[in-house]
Amino acid sequence: MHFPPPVVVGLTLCRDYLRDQATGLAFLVRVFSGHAVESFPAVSEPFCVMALLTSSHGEYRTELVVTFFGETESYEYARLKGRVRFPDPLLLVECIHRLNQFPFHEPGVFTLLIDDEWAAQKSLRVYSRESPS
Amino acid sequence: MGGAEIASRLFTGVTIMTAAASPEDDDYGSTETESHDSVLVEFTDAAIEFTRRPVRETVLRNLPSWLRDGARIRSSASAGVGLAICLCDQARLHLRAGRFAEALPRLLEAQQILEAADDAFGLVDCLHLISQTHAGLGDAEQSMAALRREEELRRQLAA
Repeated sequence: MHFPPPVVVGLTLCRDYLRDQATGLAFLVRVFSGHAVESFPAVSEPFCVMALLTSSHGEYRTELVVTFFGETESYEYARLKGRVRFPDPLLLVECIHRLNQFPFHEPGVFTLLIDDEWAAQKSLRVYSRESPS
Repeated sequence: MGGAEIASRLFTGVTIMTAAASPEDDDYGSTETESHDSVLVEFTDAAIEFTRRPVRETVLRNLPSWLRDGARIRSSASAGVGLAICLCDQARLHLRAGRFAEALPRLLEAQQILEAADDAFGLVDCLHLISQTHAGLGDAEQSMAALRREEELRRQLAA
């Protein structure tokens, strides 16, 4: 039986992801879309990129790609590859990308690729503490 | 699978609390009756790769239109032989550390860039590294093929 590629329910940036062992409940801590730094380049506080996937079956390659779109230059800056297995199309698969020391030069766009194809994206506004823009 | 079964599997272990709770439902508001059936996969940034590359076409295609055209122009400016040199340097370090499997994809990517840019001198060095990598991986046939190609190119350059 052929299953379509996974459906991305959401792509979320948050400070931490916790899972209660007793109940299995998940908690996203401090969801954000902007991040203040002292100056550029900066190393961020630890954060997570959480992708919620469903509606597929089998194994897929995933890649979280970080792209910077600057005034003079746009380039792909970082990539984190992985593999995800879907045991059941009705189950949710939570992909947590933990970035503990991510360096920022400029604001970025986080894109999730599944089997080399675009699946979802999320932009992150990074700004200097002195001059929020 | 019938509709009722699908619905039951969708909500396995999840009790949805509604505002119209029955009188005996005295634990309304607690989370004890909830659960969250999902598969958790975690990736850490230990495996993150930071080589600067041009923005991919699949990413560009999905940008908002006001950002797409400018990004396409600015991205094409950053592509080129510089990336291939960077990838070859990374591969050399992996080779020194004996990490042949990590060196190979970088070298193959560099080879594609150098071929597209028609950079014969760069390609000769890249092929030499590819040969060493295949030898390290125990693939003598591929190693020899890369060496033959390198020799052929060197003869052409010397002529």
